[in-house]
Amino acid sequence: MITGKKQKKSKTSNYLYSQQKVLYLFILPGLMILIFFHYLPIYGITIAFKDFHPLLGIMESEWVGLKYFQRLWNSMFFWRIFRNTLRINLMHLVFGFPAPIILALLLNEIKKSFIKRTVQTITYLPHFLSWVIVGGFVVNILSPNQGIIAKISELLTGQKSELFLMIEPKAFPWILVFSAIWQSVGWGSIIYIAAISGINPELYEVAIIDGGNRWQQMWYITLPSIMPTIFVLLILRMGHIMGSNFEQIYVLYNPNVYSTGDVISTYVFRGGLGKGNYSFSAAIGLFQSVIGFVLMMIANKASKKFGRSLW
Amino acid sequence: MKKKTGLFDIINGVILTIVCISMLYPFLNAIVKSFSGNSEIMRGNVYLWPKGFTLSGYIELFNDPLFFTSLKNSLYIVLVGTFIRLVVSLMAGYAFSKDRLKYRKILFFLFIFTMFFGGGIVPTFIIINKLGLYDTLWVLILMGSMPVYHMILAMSFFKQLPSAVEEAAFVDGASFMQIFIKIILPMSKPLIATLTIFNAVALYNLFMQAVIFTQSPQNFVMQTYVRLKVFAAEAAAGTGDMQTIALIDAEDSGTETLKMAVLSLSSIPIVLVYPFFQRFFIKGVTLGAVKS
Repeated sequence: MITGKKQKKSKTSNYLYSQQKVLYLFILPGLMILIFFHYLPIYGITIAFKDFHPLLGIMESEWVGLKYFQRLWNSMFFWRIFRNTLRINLMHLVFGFPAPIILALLLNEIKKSFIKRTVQTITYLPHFLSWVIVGGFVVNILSPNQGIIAKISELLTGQKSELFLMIEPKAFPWILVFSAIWQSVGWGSIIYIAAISGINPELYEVAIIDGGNRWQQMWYITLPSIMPTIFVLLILRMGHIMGSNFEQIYVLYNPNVYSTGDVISTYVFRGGLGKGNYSFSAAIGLFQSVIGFVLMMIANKASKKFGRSLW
Repeated sequence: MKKKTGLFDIINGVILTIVCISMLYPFLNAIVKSFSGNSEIMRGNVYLWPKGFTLSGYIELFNDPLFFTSLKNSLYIVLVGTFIRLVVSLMAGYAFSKDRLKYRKILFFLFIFTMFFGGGIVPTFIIINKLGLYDTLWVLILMGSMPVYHMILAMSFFKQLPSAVEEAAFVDGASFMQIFIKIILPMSKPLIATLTIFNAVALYNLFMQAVIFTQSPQNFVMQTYVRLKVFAAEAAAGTGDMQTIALIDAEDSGTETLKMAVLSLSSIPIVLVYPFFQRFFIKGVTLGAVKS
């Protein structure tokens, strides 16, 4: 797990052992920050079981047990945001997960290292931009009267489309998937490129002697060789199936696409902070955190079986 | 090996060219539009070259006091926040790299746990209010100022440093703090560079915390400013964004030229520097991946 090789005990280590206080002092600032900004809010979760009132505070508000969880169970909105969260994450998994693998395989086939490096640098660019900026690009590109997508479809079909995809509920999850791929495909390929560079070159030499063409080399050597990496990353990714993508959705969505685009985190934000339904929103948030936590623990356990963990 | 350009290379080249164009086009198009007349943009005439050349977008932007407030706040947050995050994660990482630390496992668990479970938006909001940090720049600086993942990177880095140097310094009578500052940190320059850039980019891109925990214009940062200018219409449609709604009446939604100027100007700092610092980022990614 966390520990590497045990450090050898030496004569001075007895002396070092007496320095415990200083070590704690080194941990203290970080621990204080975590207590104030993580553990106090975790204590604040109790409001999901209380009738929270801002004037009474967390302590003084009255316990109501599972009232808000029952309400959540019967709420039409809850099932909608639950379904949307799952659906959007599944789409990210099915379409977004393979994208960097494919890019890495293609990049690996470029033999000129200068071109390869240039293409890599270009594909990394979107990773460093915030979702606000990426969202601005998305709106600009999808605009029916000035965007490139409408222009291309006009050239192909000869018809000018008036459809603004940003307000189409059916299109919205796809916008999320494609903009996420756009932003992260280059960056995600790094780890696969690193895995590919570790493949024994003799395998390819043998394949060439056996008459294997480039496509066959890619399919029968490169891809199987990075399968362990793919598998571990897939498991870890599945642990995030209840994740939130708050920034991306918050920037891009609008009331027209709530039916497909409103997810747990955005609903909690609007209902909890916008409308003041503190306890109800906290209950939904807790529901998501607990499921997410369990999934991540399972994923991490499973990936450890294959030799790599999150830490 | 024979080297000839076959069908395979052609197909591969075509695909990757399309990928590269799609990566660059949105950015280039925003820059081109930022120099184009609003009516030309609205008519759908501007794609790869400015039409009806104008600087009005940038002039309007540079005459907006809110832009400079946001820029100043972002710089402040990046500078102070990066420093705090670095100090905190390096110190904790160093302490955790020592096996002799008592209760190491339970303390380490307290740190790791926060990566997987949190209070969520509403309880965090209530606590921040209670602490009196709501609508201050300090909440943006301090929230997440213990980056646990960075601490783990630092810990594994310190573990592989040779311990002989430290022990020799101890024998010579150096204190723990002196060793950390005078010996360990100078040996950790690659690590410090990587974490500095990680933090600076993350803090410049910081958005969610600003939306949730700040409200007034004097606490705007770059990303909330971009959001206000570029997504004015969406914000007005009622996505629950208190910050923007409050301002929306005072602001007309602005020309396309202005929107594109805002987008271009806010992404240019990143676009200009990332080719130089990408290697640090890659190191961070692979560092996290190879340690087992």
